[in-house]
Amino acid sequence: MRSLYILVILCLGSTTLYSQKFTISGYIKDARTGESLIGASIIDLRTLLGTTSNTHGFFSITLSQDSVELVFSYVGYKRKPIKLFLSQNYVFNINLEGKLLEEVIIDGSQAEAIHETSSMSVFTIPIDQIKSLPALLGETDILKALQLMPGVQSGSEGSTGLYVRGGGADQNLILLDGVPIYNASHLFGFFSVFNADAINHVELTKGGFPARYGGRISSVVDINMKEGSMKELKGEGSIGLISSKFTIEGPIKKNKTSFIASARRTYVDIIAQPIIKSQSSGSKRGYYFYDVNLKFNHTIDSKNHLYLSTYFGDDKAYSKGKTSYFDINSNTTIDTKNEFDLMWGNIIGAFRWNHIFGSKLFSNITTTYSRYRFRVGQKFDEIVNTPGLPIENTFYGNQYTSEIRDWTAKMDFDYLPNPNHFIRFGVNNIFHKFAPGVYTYNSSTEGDTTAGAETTHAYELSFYFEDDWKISDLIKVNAGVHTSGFAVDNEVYYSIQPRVSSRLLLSRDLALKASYSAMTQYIHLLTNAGIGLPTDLWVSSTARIKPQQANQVALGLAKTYKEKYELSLETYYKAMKNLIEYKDGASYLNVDNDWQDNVVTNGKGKSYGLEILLQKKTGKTTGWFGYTLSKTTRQFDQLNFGKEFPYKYERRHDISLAIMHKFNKKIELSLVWVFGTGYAITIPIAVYEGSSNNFDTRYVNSSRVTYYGDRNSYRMKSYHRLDLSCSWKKEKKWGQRAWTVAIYNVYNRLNPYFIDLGLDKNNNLQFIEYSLFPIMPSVSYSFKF
Amino acid sequence: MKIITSVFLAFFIYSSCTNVVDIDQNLKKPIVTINALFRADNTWQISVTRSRNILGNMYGNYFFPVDSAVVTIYDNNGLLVETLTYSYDSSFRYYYNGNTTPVLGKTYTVKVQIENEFTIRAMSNVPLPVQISSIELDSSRYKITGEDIDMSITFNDVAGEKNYYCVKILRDAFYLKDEDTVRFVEDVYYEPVDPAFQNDFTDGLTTLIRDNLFDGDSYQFRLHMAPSFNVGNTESLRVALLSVSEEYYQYFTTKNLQTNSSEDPFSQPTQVFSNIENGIGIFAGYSVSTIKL
Repeated sequence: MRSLYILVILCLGSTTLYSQKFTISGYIKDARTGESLIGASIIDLRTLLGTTSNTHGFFSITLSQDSVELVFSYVGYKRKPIKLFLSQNYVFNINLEGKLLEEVIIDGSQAEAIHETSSMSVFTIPIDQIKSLPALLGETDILKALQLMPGVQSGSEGSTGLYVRGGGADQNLILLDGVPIYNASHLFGFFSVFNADAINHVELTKGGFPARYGGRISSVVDINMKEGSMKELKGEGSIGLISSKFTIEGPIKKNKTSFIASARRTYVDIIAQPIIKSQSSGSKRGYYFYDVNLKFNHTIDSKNHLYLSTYFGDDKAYSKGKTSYFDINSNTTIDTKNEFDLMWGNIIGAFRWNHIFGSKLFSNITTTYSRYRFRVGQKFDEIVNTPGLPIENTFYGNQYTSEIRDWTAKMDFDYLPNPNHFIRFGVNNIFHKFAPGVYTYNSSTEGDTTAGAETTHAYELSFYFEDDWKISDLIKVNAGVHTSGFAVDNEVYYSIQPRVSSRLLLSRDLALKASYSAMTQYIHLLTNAGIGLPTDLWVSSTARIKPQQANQVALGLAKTYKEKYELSLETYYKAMKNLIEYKDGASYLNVDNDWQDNVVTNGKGKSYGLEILLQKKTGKTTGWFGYTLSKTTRQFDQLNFGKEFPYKYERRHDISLAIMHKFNKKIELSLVWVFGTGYAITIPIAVYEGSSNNFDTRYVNSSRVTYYGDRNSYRMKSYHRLDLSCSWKKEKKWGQRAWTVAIYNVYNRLNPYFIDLGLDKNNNLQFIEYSLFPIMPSVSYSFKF
Repeated sequence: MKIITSVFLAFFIYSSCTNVVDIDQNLKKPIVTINALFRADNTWQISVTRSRNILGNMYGNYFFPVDSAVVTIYDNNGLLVETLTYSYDSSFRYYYNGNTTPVLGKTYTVKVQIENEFTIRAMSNVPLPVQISSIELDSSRYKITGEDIDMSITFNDVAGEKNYYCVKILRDAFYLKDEDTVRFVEDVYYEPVDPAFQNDFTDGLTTLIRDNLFDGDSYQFRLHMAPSFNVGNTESLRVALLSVSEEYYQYFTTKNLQTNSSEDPFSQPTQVFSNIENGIGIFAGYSVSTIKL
């Protein structure tokens, strides 16, 4: 800690050690919409000193009194050069203009090149590229685009789960405008909750974590919503096979206050309702999901900005029925009503105040709320009415709920004393409320019953400090520390997590990179299927259940070729401990037990591998090729008789290829091909005679035991799939429209989803492989104005 | 709550395709299976059979016996106790039988040698019996359909060692075979009152208990027998406290768990415990103390 203080003093003091320096600061925005550009590059061509804009588009660069020649650039935008003689502090709001297609071919300007940054294991996919990718049933999905990156697995077919470098589905910090989302999936995991039309920026970090992130051990998915156009009213939307969505944004007061509102809903239930009613004697049944994003952005003055954003969305399956029966003999009317309701969803909200102190210190004060809730219940009500007799009313109902809520207050500061330092520090307080698995029952004949786990409250506090320090032209280091504490029941856990990532330039466009990060996670997800089912339970660390921890080291090379191609090659090793998992045979259905009795603890995990990513972000043809070679294992004393076993979602080899080609302004073609080694599963391989526990029979009688191979010792067949998509865009008087035809699984590969035992006609058992999605064409219509 | 599973499965079945697959299993050769639960008042009797491929008939419970094995029992000093002989019993089931009985407190090793195969070994002990110190019976709660019985069974655990127990309620019963009355002891269904014993620790006839929470102390086990369990005349009831080896406990808890979770598609498959080296199955000792009510 002492060296850390010295480092802080040195960094803060450095601004006063040099004289005749001035600062240029401000925001970098899209010229057409006023939207902040995150990670845009600013460089002084004379000194080659530079910096990047932060997650709010703010930049600050301090240079010596002299002529400066600044160039502002961002992927997909025209470079903007500014020459001036620096003799005072300047505040600029830089507006970059989007490039036309023809210019894309000529100009490959980009944000800070991959070999320049000290970070590693971080990547972004431009939203336009995500929208261009072929999509299952025409529904663009951000998380599925991230699954195409090396080191990231999807879990089951079609799922939006993220399994990063051998980590579990719960080990990803998924942030929407800085607010954690606990269950990021709709429709049992086949779609994510993120509506791409409302999203501005997506970044995935899978290693070399900067100190500002904490709370999860495997990855951070940082998603920023659009802020809403400050210039003009704009809208876009699409009509697809399963859902439609619409987004509108614009100024409430031009260049001062803006808003964006985006909504999406599926409508299979509405279309199918008449058929369902006719087939089910008038009862209503259906399933739908919806989500809504809202954001307001207000500029008080050049130093103060306010943001208010919210997301809410639910999945709902329902069934309602009514019957009425009249018994002519007893003159009795019997009315019955029954209802079934299955619902899960998130609601989040964030209020943010950006303030700039002077021109070098940027602050962001945020309060957030996040809630994930799952509920399933059914009710039955019967009224028996016989004239002359009291009305008899019989009812019963049961409900199972689980819920997690977070209230957060945090302060983040970015301090840019000079172009060689980008210092970030902050504090984060979270109050958690966990209510996993509560079962209630009520009826007209028995008293109300409640069973399941009790509500747990926990308090999490963390501090961080990091400096992105350019030590010399060759060496750049991002070093910092994240410290956190977690208080639950009468137990307090502490953690100090050092982080460092660095780059050493080997040549003008080639860098050697290395990183180390220690991570701690105080919450756990209990999941059986790992496919994003709403029944997954979020639970807290407790006196019995320790926090999960991970240590990760990575070493890699990063190269930029002709400013168009980026190549990264990384190797990593990650060790995890204090993992938990359901006991053999346990599941969320065991509501009578405390969840802590249903789990095995102190699990260890390790993952190591090699990842290659070749990416092209500019030009007529863009895309990437990714390859991963990895091995991931788990070990629990209480599972598999203590022996280490392969992790369920390990793919030894994983390849992804994504290509997008714009033929001209109107036609765009995209292709995705993925290949992966089959997942590891446990299958029964034999049956054998079992012993009976009957007292008086010493004989083995009618007992058979199923013998499984070692846990996850069988590999399903390889997974591969080709998707294609073609869009035809046309400019109209009112804006632009596009038709998109996509084909998922073009060559109709029957990829395995799971394998189970079934019977043939002679009652012989046979293995049956279930595949989920055959070839699936889709068409969607989208528009923009 | 299984309705959630049903909704998911309905969605899945609606959209899924199936394909019968030929899985190249690692297990080409059947595994030799040993089954022996031994106690001090019975002579040695060991079943040696071979496993079947999982893809056989769903309802077949016949496993081919191994008739050419040399089955020997050794004591804890490594001395040969006896070599068992192969014969069948009155039900025409084949076993390797002995003339001696295990001794309380001793550890035994079984070796099974089959030509051209690895020697199969297993080891277990016969725990000393633990006496039931008291039984409290409450049958005061009378219901229309019969009589409920609440029972508390108390025993003292031996301190400083891992002990495992099994509680059974027994009664005399009989059936007719060829006009002869065959008498036998029948296990009676009951429910443990403590919910901690649900699922893998009970199969309705037996509850498995370990002493990790009451080492060296007196322990009271409470159970409930409902009229629907057809208790009948309580005069013939006996309570049996089995003092079982760790192998016995592990085998039956995991076997119960495999049975109980077989219908839940989202639960992890359960491997049943085996202590047979170079084979599978169970070789486990136990002892019994009973009290008539």
